[in-house]
Amino acid sequence: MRSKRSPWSWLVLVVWCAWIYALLGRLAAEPAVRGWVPDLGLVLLLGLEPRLSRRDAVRAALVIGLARAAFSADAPTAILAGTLGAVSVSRGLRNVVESDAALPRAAVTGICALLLGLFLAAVHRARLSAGFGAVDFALPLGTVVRGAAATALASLLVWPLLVRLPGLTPLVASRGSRFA
Amino acid sequence: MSPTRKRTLGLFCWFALIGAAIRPIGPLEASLGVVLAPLGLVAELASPLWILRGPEVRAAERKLHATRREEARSGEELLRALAEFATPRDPELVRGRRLVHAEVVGRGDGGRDVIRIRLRDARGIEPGLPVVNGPVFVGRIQKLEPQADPAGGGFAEVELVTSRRFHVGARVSDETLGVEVDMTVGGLDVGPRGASRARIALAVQNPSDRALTSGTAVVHERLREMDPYASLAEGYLLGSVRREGEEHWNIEPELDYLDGLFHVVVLATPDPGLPSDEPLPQALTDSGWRKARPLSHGDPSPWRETVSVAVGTTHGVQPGAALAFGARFVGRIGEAGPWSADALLLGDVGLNVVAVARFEGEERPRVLGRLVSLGRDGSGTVRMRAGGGEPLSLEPDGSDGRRLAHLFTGSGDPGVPSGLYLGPARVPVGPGAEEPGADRVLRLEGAPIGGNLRGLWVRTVSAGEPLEAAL
Repeated sequence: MRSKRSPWSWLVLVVWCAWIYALLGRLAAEPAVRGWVPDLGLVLLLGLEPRLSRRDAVRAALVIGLARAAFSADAPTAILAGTLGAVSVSRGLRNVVESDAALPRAAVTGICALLLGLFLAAVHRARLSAGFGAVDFALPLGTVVRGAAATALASLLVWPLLVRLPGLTPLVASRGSRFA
Repeated sequence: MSPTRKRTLGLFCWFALIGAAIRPIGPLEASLGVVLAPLGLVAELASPLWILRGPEVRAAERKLHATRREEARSGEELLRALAEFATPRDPELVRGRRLVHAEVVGRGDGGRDVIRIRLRDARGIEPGLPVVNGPVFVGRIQKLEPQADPAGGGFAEVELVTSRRFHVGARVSDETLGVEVDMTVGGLDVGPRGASRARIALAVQNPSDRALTSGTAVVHERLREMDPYASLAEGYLLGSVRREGEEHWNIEPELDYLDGLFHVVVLATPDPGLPSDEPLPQALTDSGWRKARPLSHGDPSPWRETVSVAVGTTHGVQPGAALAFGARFVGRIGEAGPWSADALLLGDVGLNVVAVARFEGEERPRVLGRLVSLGRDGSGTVRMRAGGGEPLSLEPDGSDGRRLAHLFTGSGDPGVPSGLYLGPARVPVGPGAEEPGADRVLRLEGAPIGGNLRGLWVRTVSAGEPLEAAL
């Protein structure tokens, strides 16, 4: 299905993502809580995705990925591949489970957060290993798993709020979503 | 285009992204950096968060400000100590020479056997002039670089005595035989029949007496007319000669040429109009710095510790440049776009820097080699693995086999001046620390969280301001 959205709503999405990732960066900088920081950008993406056409879901993945890249030292190519992959995984899982229900949706978001986290951490490790062959950099598995759990929990708690953020309604309105 | 083709194309692009992420291609990454440069504007959208965080940021900065002058003074003392140990003091080795101090700023195009140096004063410096570290011969000036130094000196490349193409005449007094043996030294010795060795050794060729057993080798050119600067290097140390097998000799060097060269001295022809033995000024006082306004507060990936800063290549900032807060080293620049750059902070896994330690009660600074960050633990301590460096045959000051030291940046990394304070750390010392498999992980205390700091400064290759003003 081809849809036309106002550029304004995409711009609003960029602004919201900028704030989300700025806050996440702030939280992740605190050693005491860094492992438990949920990926709210991913929660927003997977909240919007079922209400968007395939084309717009890909656009949303690119917009949210680029917003994250503005705040992260992870390779932009890895972040974009990760957000696009998350959209594909979410679409694939929705064919198997009813992901509009709260618990399955949280599970899907948690799985996507785990895969995205592992992928980004693995890319970082691969790049480091190319530079320091002699140093063994361990994958931060604990941090990734805790972050995925926090993301799944955040999906349960704040997902209804995130998809109703002011200015995002036009993005999902034309598909007649009950959340619009 | 049919939906199947679209899907195939999409899948192809996705795999291409994954491939480019795992195996970065230099030109593609550079182009992406330019294309994605406007992302700095996206980061600016969240800048009001700094206003909300004002009190928190001020508190974190105040804490560091309290010690900044003391840290700057310690850095200055370290540089003085490094310069002192790098300056030849034997009157025989100093007479008839002009001493020009220089700092190692990186490796040259020739790989490990060429170092780049920043000269205190480039006047009177010519290719071929010898370079020394204390009483030890290091190599010769290979070429002078036209690049201007914001600090007022100049840059040059030095070919080390370890280079395969390098040759220098040497003389050994063999006390066992009671004779003086002349030889040629240069390049690395691969050992008899290519045997591998744990430590590097300099190659020896054509000894004038093949009965040579051992002795100390010093520079001695027999054919001085071949090299106009030969007399300047006369008498400088090369190392101890060892005999290995019937017809094989090598020299155990006095220096770690890979990670142990920070401060060197160029021996030039005396000139009454030019100063000699003038110390290098601390990098904090030169105009090679620029304010780096942070755009972000941290990295959304919790296993990273980075911030974005609003300076880029158009401001003279290059990847690898040091990021400082006062006299304290905070991190280094990662990828740099035209107007913004990623700053990798001390707690970011993989951040690396050459370091020097000053142990409590020890006068001489010790070379730790390259420290690689393993990340920050829950208590906020940064764990760093030390690689290379000199053997630390010191007594531990506790039961943990470690000793308290204050760590500073060494030189040898482009864009990272020596003498910036890293923080206190408990360093593994003693013979056990050098054994294979030994724990060489340091715990760096008090490393600031970069996302809490606004007053960051970055080292630039173009003229900027002195950081001293921020102290």
